[in-house]
Amino acid sequence: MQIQLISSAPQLKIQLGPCQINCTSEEALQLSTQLSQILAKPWEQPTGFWAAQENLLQELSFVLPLLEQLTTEELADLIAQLNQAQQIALVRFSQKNHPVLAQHLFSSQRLIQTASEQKQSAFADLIYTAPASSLHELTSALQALQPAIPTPEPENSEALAASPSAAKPNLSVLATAFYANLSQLPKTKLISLLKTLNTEEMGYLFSSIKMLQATPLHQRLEEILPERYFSAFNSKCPSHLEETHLCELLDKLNSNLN
Amino acid sequence: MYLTAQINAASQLVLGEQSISIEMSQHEGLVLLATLHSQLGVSMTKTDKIISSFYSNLLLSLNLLGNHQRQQILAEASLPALAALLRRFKQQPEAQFIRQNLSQRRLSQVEEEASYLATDLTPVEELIEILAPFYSKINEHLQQGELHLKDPKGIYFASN
Repeated sequence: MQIQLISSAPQLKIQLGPCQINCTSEEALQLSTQLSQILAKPWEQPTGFWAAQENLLQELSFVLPLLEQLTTEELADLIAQLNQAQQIALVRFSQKNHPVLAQHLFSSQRLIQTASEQKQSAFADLIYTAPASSLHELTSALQALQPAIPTPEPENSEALAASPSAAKPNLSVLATAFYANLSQLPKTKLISLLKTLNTEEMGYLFSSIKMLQATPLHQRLEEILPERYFSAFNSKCPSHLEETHLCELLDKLNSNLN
Repeated sequence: MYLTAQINAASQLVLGEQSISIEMSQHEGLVLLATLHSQLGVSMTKTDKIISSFYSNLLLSLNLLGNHQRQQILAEASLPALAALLRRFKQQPEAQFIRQNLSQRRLSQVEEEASYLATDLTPVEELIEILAPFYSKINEHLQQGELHLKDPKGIYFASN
């Protein structure tokens, strides 16, 4: 496109390929300000985009241990929905944070086929040679997988552990169901689970129990915790918990349960 | 006429007004900006700064591509364009990126290129005469969907 100034002040006339634009200097200034902003960093995401992605990852991190519990076939079905960049991101992130899941992903035949439509080794190579994966590719993969994770049979022994997956997007519904299950754990198992929490997380647990009005679990804690300990937490903890902290807590409880 | 400027999904710059819109490459947008600046009396240093910022963003984004594509794109660049970019980003990460992705032979050709040492061109002339063909190749790949440029300031991870 040819860009050429035809006449200048007071009225600018600029030839843009087949078009001509006429503008006053005020209009020209306004356009040049916009162009400066856009063209100074055309490939950058808007401010706050990556911070939001980090938060999203925290919220979705509970999906990873749930994936780990699926059979290779179930996992392969799920993974087939993702594009190649998302699959690579998921494997790479799992290698660092959930090695068992990474192994699981690798052994899934279907994954390898969809990923490369080539030889088995091709996908494995891609994990090492493909360009760096973006956090956005990972979060979009987890977002796509989250509602599709199959709900386990309620009577199944693993149902308890996996109940936060219940394929419902509403976190408080998931948490309430999960807490109801926890309240039915045998005493020794519940105590050993509580022992894995540090003081801060114990506070989160109390806050979330209050917030969700999870009475059965509240009663169990009152029964099994030393009285002073229980009343200290019970009186001091606010009855509200940030969603990200709730996710962290559920994630931890869920993985320590196994 | 008040125009709004935005970038569309195919990475093209779209200038619009109520009844019309004009699509051009981002590089053509830079040329338009330089033209506007010269008429508004904006200093050339300021225009040059935006040109640098644009190319910095572009080169650092190209650096996130796979080996093969990175090298392909630099292979399509002319010697004067590479020389101009090396000069512009002397000893900065952008220049490092170019050096690392050229063969030794090509790199010495670039360094011999007269424009690496000195140039009589103004930043805007350099933009139009030397850099435009380089971007135009990149733009072809963008329009054909063969090239996806990512945010160089984003969060990335590779295999361990």
